[in-house]
Amino acid sequence: MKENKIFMAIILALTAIFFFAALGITGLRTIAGTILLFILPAYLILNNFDLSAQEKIVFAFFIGVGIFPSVVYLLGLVISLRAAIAITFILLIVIAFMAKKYMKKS
Amino acid sequence: MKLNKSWLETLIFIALYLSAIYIWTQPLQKNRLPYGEYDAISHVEVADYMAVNDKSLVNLPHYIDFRYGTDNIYKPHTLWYYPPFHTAFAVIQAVAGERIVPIYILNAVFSTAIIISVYFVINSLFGFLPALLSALFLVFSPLDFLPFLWGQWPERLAYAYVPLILYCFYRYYTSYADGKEKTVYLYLTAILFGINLYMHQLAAFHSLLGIAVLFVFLLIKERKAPFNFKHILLCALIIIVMLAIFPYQTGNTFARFGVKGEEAKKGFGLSRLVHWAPNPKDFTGSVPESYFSFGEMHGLWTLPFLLLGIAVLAFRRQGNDLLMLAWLVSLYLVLHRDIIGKAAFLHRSLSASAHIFAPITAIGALSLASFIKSKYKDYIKYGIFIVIAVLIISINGKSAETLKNAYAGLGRITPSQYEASEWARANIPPTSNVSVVGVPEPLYRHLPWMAVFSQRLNRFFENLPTAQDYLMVDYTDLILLNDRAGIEKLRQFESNELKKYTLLYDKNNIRIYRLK
Repeated sequence: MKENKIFMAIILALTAIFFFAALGITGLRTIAGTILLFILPAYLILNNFDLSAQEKIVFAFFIGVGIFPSVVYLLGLVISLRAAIAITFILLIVIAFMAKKYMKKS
Repeated sequence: MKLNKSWLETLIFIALYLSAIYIWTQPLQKNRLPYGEYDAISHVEVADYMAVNDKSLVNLPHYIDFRYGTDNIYKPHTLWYYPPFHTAFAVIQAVAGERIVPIYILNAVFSTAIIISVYFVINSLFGFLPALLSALFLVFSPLDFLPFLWGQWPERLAYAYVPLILYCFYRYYTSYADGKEKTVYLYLTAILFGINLYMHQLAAFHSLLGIAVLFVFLLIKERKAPFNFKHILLCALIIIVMLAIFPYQTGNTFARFGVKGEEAKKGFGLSRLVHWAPNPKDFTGSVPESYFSFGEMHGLWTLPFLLLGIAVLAFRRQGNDLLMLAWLVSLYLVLHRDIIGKAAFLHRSLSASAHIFAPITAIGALSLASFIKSKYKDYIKYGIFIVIAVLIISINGKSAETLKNAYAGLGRITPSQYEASEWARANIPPTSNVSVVGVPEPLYRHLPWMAVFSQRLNRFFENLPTAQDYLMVDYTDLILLNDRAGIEKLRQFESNELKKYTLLYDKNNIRIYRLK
């Protein structure tokens, strides 16, 4: 488990270095934003289900790029888009932890 | 820490994927100004509007409505695409703090997502070697990077969902057949399908057909079908909710389904059934003829391996083989949908061919090792892998030159035009029109690009009486073209006709006058 985390950290670091080297600071910010906003919340939600590690990461990306912007868009109809990004992030993280709690109980 | 096989494989794939990102972002590495055809312009302007104005877009602003006001046929003058794709760009633009580059980088990630999904599905069902070969094929797939360059962006991402949806449905079906039903895969199928529809209806239609064909294939094999009313109801509910939250775009999707495109009027010849691709002559002027050629897009050398792959899958007919065959058959059906009069964007469905041809070709090539009776079978397999990888890089890899040289020179707006556009956004009222004089007709595309960044409508200048509100006199393209006669003519026009108007902006050979 610990080794998995180390391995994932290595991959993230390599990816960050690559984007910075090839596309500059904007590249780094873009990929960091993609991972943090689109992948991480969806991953934390999927982490509560009986899926393989690879499945969780891949589905997190493909679900995250659909769900995260959808919520941002809907919130952005009533509040500022930047505030909507922050609220959506918090909302999905809270859902992930609530799901974890609920799954543990059941 | 020991490096296990699975990590090593993942590391190799990550290296390949990052190479793909490097190759696909080449048009952005030397020149950070935007590129692409009209489709690209529309995608950037919708996202950019939301990020710059810090709000979601429902009703189209003046400058977008001018061209796309009737694209939503259910609710004209509103956003015609489902919002998530463009909102994702807006999110990343807001987070990264730049107007152009973040959109293009995220789009490169989206457009190469097919490499991730195909690798993942093939690795899960057939192992690492065919998965890596498939991914390598797709790095150099012109059927993918050409539409990516032109601007058909949402469907690039949408096609990446097709194998994942089939995979989830397959996992659900086989888990049911094995008596260990895993409903999570059924719900994932529904969620991924809903998002697939958000990204592009064409790919979602393909996914739906794929599920239907896979269902039939698995039903024949397993002789039992999963049916649980509660689960099906929940899936239907997921999709209905996903459709209901964007009513204007869902209305547009259904309204469009009833519309027959121009291509449909050409009719359907039965000879089409024995051809994979549509007739290139039906698309003259919009797509190059080479786009319809197997040799140009995949390389003729791959054909024997592709046919062998199909034969191997058809002969084995294991569950995973049936998934591949269902994917292939569903694409064939999608590509021949003109038989039922649904011919709109037929050529765009062709772009999904590489996604299924690549893995079947890899499976076919690697299956050669199984025909050889030797204790060194595994080594032979690695040998075949290396040979095919070298062939892909040396033959198909040449096509990557297209990416390297894309939209060089006058193919993009100049930094001066970008700067003038930003000035216009800050200083000209939102509903004003800006006529532009000086941009030569072949570079007409610069006008809508400037409209994106000025967020004002830019119109081609015809004459002073018809010009409205503001006039931009732009020498920059003529200077780059070294068109001395054109520069002189424009100078004379400016000094003779525009003296009486107020000059508001004068920088880098661009001047903006207020006409009214």
